Amino acid sequence: MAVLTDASRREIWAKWMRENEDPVSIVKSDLRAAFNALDDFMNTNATAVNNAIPEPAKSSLSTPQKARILMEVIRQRFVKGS
Amino acid sequence: MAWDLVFSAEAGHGTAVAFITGIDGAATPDLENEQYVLNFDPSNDNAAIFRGVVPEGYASGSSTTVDIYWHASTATGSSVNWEVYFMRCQDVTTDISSTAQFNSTGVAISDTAHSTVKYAQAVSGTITNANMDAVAAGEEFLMLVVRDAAGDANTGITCLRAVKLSQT
Repeated sequence: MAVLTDASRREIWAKWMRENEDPVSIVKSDLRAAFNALDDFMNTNATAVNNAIPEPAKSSLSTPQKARILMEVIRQRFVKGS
Repeated sequence: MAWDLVFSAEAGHGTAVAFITGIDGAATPDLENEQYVLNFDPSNDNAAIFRGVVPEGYASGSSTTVDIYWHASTATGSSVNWEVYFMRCQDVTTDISSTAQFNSTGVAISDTAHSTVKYAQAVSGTITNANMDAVAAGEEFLMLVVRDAAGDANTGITCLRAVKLSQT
């Protein structure tokens, strides 16, 4: 797996800025650096995340299905109610 | 003779037409605490267009002051770049159906977002008659307001509240 293309990173960075409703005190380049770093992190640690999923889910679920599990866990832990 | 001409946000509308090179989206209408505004995206160069008539007291030999009234929706303390362009609508001369009529040089006006979001802000620039497409007193004109999002640092939507043109 490779990191996202520059166009893909730009797309999600732009979407985040458009949809964010909470105050932000950093500039665009610093925000973009956060997207780049998290994409790099996911690229480096994708195998470790997959290995954290127990069987039979690990082998039975598709990559998008497992990604949505990760999204729901992150949303519940860090986004919901914030 | 001093004069001013005020355009509140509801006097214009968003446009994605490439009147000026670089425009890649239309500003969108919104309400902030029951006040009509035009929202400009942080990642695309949005535009809004207004139409007016040059006051009879207009002096073509003097610069015109352009005041932008705006507020930041979510991002504080970072630069926001506005640009304003003009198109003269000259009697029996200007083809108003053409999209290539705006003067390609306008006025660039940069401001820094307040440290708290949703505070009213105002910033000024000046523009020459030549850069106003050589408008003359009594003539109709079009005004294009653009956010140079590619060139500024503000991560949030910026809201245009009004524009004022004046000479003293």
